[in-house]
Amino acid sequence: MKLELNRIAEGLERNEIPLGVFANPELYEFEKRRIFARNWCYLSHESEIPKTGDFIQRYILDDSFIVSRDEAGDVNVLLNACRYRGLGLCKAEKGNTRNFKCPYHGWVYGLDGSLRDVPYKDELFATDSLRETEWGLVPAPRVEIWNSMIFANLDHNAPRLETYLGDARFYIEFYTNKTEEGLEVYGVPQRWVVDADWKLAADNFVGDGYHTFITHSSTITAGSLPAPGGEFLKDGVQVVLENFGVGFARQDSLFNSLAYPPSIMQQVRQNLSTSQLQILDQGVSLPTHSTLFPNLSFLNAPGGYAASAPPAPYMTFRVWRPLAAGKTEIWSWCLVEKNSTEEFKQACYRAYVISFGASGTLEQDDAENWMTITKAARGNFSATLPLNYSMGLRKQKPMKNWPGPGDAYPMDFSEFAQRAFWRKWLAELQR
Amino acid sequence: MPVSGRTITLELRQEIEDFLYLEAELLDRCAFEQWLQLFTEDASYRMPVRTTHERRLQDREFDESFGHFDETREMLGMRVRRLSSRTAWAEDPPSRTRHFVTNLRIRATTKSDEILATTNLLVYRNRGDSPQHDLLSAERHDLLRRTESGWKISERRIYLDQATLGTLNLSIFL
Repeated sequence: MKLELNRIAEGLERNEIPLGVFANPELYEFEKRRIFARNWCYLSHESEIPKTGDFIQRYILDDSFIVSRDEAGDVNVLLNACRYRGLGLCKAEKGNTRNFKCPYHGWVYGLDGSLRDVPYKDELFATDSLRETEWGLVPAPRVEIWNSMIFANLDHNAPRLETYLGDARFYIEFYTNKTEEGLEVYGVPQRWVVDADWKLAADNFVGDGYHTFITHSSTITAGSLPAPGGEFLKDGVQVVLENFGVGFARQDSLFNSLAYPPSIMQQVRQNLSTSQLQILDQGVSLPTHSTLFPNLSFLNAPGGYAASAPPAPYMTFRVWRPLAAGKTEIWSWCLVEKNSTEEFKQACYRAYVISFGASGTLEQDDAENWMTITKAARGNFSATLPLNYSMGLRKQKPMKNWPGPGDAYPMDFSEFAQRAFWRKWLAELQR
Repeated sequence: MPVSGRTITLELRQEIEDFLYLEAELLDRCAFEQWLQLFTEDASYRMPVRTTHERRLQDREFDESFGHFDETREMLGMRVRRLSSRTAWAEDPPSRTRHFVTNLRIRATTKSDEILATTNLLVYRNRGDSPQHDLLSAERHDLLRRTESGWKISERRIYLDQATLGTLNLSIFL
């Protein structure tokens, strides 16, 4: 594997990635341990478990966690495995309960994971061999919440979430802090499995403005992408951080406010900082697509769902959950402004459902392309095929007066963000 | 939907069966424009997202306000227009589907021109040169309306027998 990584590193120096990285089981084993066991992984939005006793089941790769809201109102992220024989206590994806009872031997745990009951405990166990304080459900090694977003990290020694997010917070806040009360999840996450590698999705959302005009041209015909053409990201801006990349469209009548109505744009102006608002004076839209390393992506964009209604903005969070090399479970959430009208939420949801999610007219063609790439990557010969990742080099220079953090490039048909993603990916594998 | 005790005649049953079989045939032949004509102007077409719940919370399995599909007739039309655009990559080459429609149960409604048809649906789906196939199993609740140009679908609810979808996307119709 070290040889393989050295070869990939040499390729990256030339701005090339070998096709085989999208379907390599050995590489996947490395990603499991070195990326997903050490980086902050997104699990859930707090609005998914608003009430005491609410719980959901979430995953970091194959590790299942119960995310619960306990009596004190706190969020817990607990490994979904009984401490006696390891049985996965929670078989539902979602629900409300007072406790978790194992159906094997009846051990009972509270919403905070504390061990509450062991049948015949005093008769069967010596006091010091089963102290209740030591045998509760095991929490994820690190759990932190930022802006209602619940993350976990399997590495006790990981940096704090805020440190990890770093300057990415400046841009993610455009998604989460438009209004005073922020976002809430509308409905439940959609889940489906595609024969495509997680990195293709992360790579697409981090910086691929280039694919829109060809991949999504049918949605312009259909009207779900309410733009005159698919080049709206071309003359936009791409911003690159070490573990985050984000794209902005060029400002026009549609891609100014991403179809947020004036009433919400007014709140945006109240809720964002001065330097954040200066971004909107740069001739670009609100941030549209982005990826936070490793596998959390965001998209905020306008969608059309009726000729008689104006386009509505949709906001989606997505986790590309790797299941194997070249196999990914997509988790797709629709989020809306919590304090907006039911009518507006409905419009945003309609715009989302025709654009993204399992039936989304844009989503379908993205995943189709990623699956076709993954299939091509399985060959013995094709695995070594170098792919060109040099777009924008020696063509685009960082903008001088960009008011936000990171390097900003004056085009979103660019690959600075993808190159940063791959450098981060490689650095983590070599760490 | 209010249900009435009116008798369902064999003749009516035959009409509904023929209608649903024709609809399935149009989908399997990718005759989407013709298929769209089978919906009323005010039609809705929905597939609520399903989430696994414990037995005691089974009534929460389907989120009726959040769907994989939640379409007006106009939105269905947008999807059909996309499929005929020559750049709908996810369906080029097209999926090979076979819709099996069975276990028809018909109930009269309080409106004389509308009936409720519940069916079991099994969709076989195959793509490209792969010998693999996906199977989607569902119960469909259709509100059908008799119009001057024959029966039309005025409401369709699709209840999938799956929480995590076992197919690569929903670029097909059920």
